[in-house]
Amino acid sequence: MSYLEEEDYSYAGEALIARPSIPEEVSDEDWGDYLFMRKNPKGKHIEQWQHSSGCRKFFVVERSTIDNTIYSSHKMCETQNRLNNEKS
Amino acid sequence: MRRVSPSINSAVINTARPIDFVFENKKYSGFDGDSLASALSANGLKVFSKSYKYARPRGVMAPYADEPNALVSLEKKGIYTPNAKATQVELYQGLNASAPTLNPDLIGKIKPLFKVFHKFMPAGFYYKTFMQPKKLWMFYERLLRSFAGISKSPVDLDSEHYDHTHHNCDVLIVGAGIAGLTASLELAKTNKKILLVDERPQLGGTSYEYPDDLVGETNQILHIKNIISQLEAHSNVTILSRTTAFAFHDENNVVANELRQDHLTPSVRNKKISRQRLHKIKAKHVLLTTGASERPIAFDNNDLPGIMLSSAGLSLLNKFSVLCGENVVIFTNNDSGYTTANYFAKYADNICLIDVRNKSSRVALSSKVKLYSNSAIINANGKDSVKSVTISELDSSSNLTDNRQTIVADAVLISGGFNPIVHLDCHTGSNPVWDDNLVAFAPILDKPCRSGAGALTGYIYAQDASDNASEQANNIISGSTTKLLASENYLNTVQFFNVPGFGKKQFIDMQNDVTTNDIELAIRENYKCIEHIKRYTALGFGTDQGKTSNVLGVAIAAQSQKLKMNEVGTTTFRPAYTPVAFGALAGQHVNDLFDPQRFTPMQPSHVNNKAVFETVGQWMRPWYFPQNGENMDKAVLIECAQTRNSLGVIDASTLGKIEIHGPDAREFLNRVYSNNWTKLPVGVCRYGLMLDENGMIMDDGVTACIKEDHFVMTTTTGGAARVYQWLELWLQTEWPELKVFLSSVTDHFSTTAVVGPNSRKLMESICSDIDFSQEDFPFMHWRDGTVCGVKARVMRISFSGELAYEINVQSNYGRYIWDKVIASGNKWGIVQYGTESMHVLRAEKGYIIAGQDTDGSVTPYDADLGWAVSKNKSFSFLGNRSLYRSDTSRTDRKQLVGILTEDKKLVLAEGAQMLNSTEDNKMLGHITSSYYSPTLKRSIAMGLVRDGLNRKGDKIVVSTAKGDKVNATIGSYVFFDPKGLKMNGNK
Ligand SMILES: [Zn+2]
Repeated sequence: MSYLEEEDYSYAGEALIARPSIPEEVSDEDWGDYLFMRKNPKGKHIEQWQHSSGCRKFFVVERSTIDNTIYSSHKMCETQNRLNNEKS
Repeated sequence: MRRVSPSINSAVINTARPIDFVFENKKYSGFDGDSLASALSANGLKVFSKSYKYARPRGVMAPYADEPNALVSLEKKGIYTPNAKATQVELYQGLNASAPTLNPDLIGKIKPLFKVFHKFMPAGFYYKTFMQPKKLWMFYERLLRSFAGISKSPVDLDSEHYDHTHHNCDVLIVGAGIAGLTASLELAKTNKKILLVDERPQLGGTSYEYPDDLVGETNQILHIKNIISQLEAHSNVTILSRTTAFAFHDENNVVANELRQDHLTPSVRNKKISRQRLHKIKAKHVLLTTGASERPIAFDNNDLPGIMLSSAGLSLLNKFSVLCGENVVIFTNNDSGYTTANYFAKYADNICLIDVRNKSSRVALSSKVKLYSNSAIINANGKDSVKSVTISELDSSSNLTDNRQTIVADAVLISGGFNPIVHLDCHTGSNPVWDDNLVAFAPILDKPCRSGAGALTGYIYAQDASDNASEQANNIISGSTTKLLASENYLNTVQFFNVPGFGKKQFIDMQNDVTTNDIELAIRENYKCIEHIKRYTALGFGTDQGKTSNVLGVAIAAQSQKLKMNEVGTTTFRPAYTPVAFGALAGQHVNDLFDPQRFTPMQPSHVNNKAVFETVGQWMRPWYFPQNGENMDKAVLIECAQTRNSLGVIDASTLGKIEIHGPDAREFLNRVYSNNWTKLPVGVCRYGLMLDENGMIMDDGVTACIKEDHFVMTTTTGGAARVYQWLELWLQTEWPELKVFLSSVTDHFSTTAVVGPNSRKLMESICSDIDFSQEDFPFMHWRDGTVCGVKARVMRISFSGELAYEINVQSNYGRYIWDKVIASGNKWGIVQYGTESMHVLRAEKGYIIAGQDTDGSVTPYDADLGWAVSKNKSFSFLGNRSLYRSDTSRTDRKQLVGILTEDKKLVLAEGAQMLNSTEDNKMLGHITSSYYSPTLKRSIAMGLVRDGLNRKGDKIVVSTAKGDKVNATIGSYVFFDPKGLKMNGNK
């Protein structure tokens, strides 16, 4: 098996942040939360990455911000189901 | 000091090959295999540097990479190397070295300056003395830097080159001492891919310092040579010497730097290969066999030349055949002092061993050695080098007694115990733990797929290290684990770090002149945490990073606060283990290879046409075209005037182009642009404004409707990649239900833009299947046709305010079309123009450039582009909601306006600050674009001004680079042809 270097990928922010479906119905404060508030945890972090020097697909990675351990990775569509479940 | 003759059999020098070299402009001679330090020592040199705070003489103190004092500069000009450690420099014919701190002029300047303040400057001296008054800090800083005991920075370009390479291996072994070699051989017998790296020129680690140590019946020098020859037969083993693993990153990514040619005379270095090579290693398992380094015991005047670690003395003796003194005093708190004494007993006249312990050693002592148990050196005497030491007997609780005597000494060798070289293990966040048994900070090796063996884990003697390395190698093979740390202190080390009751001249960190007193003072002033102590006293800074001083510093801090070693802990170990040249880090990513350069297909024509280029992102774009050697301002005058009057042409191929396909393409545009795309018919283009979710302008460009389900978007040259990623992000993460497919086609098409009142006539002359009449081909429309026989998409769009057409053809026809346009345009005096004229032409018309006139804090309303925000779209487009936030909807935000100076000739600096008046210092905003307009024959500028849209007509002042303030007036940023009359060109 050959390794793909980290440089092939780029970080694309915290994952599972859904855009409010009707932004106009959201208060300034909640909109601010959506725009600016991020978890920034020490430890397990669920985040988006893009295979930017390859197929350009975005995907979701559970990574440790302490030592970069990758716990799991998911296709975007898998997390969308999860988001939909959370919404309903 | 003298060379032992004949050479000791473990020596690495070849006395048949003498080497001439220069140190401080003086000629010396050494042997092949010598280090600069050993060769100079053999020549009797004791003073290698002067300390930077007190200008005290300093000599070689530690072996190899641990050396704090003997810093040298090597060679000159393009091969100049600063701050090499003399103990690490391999001698070569003609080597030219100097010691920056031995420069008598410099010392003459340092001493009186520092004497003014204190004889001995306490910790925090800089902060207390130089930070007040603050104004003077800059002055002091410059002075201090020039005295700061280290080489000058290089000023010439590095004339050598560097490269990088990658490895994937099963097991990486760091350190080729007895443990690393033993483990390598054990693993070599499997089919695993093994990489063994070691910083030194010879494999074998400290076997050369302790050659008589036995493995089985053989001494370890013979033993390791035997292993090395066996390893050669294994093709699955790669060995890199002169290669320092200096950084250990997560997931077993280790970076090592190989010195490939530093040991060769510059004139014989192979120019075709790199000087140094950076190895990026990814290993399934990492076995650290980095060994242990000796630490000193501190006493007064312990910095005198001639006083060194035992291992430094043994290195000189057993590795280089240099005897460091005839009257040798050895000071120890462990059994290794006995070993050292026995080695010296063979060559030196008088040997005294001072042992702080009362228990007997396991090592038998040569009868030639005079032993003083229960004693400690409390003071060294001498001026430029040690002449004698004062020792004191210790009572049962290790306190000094009055029973003292003085012993003659021209060399003092100290062993205060051994520190496992834990650095690499710590780089990934595993802090070492004080082990009372090993009397040292031991590695915890808690990360997966990592282990350690040998002296690193407490197995000091060759036999134990060898056994332990075999065991750990077999653990790697079988996938099992056994206890890593030795459970026995093989050297019977006791905890004794410094002589109590002294401290004024008890040096802990030689490179930074930090004494025991400094550390105690820092604690008294409430800098109690070791990280604070480090920064207050400078303990452990510098090129040696405190390799000989850190543990002592921790011990002093623990003693004076009555804490345990673990309660104080260590400072953070960070890469690099030893200094790495910037060149090695950069590798081949320099000059032309620093960043890829992108060229349009027209590039050869631009070069032929004398273009001067500028870099835009990665693109090389023609900046201006001086035809008769004129400067940029002149060239721009000509280019702009001719374009406005008749005809110009610009290569617009670098604009980002994204194809948008799919039934939901139109809906997608509605979501990502602020303006409305619902009714844009096929054949028509529209200006699009793109906002980020904060409602700020991020990009703009023209998008054309090719078919109902097919659009082509253009982006700014610099924003193409970002915009493409942005669009993909939304499609993939938030709107997967949209049936849209994007492809980046920037490189697929080339764009020749013909601009000016005669551009219609030109187009008619080169394209017969498109009707270019105003009625049939209006502004912001596009047509398919054939230009000079090439299939083309012609768009009537303008970034200059003139009648203009953009001819898009398949990329490989780009240069052909460009050349044809120029040939056909000669009739109208066509000029080629570059980015500078493009900027002037667009600024005259008040067309913004996203990223220049906007900076991520500018809304469409701030840029006076409110017309491009659609309020009646069913989907809340990106950024829309943010435009209603309290802050973004303020009406007195900084807004984009035109600025005209009173002095028409004066061109303001971009970035210049605007103020209400010379008296009122409140900043209103800054200039974003500023040019001399050839058309208007005056300077023009755009700028972001607080409440600017309400202030049109107001007089303000703008600061200049010279510091004066000039008068200007706020107005509209459309300076030329505000009614757009020129857009239709000549009939
Ligand atoms: Zn991929």
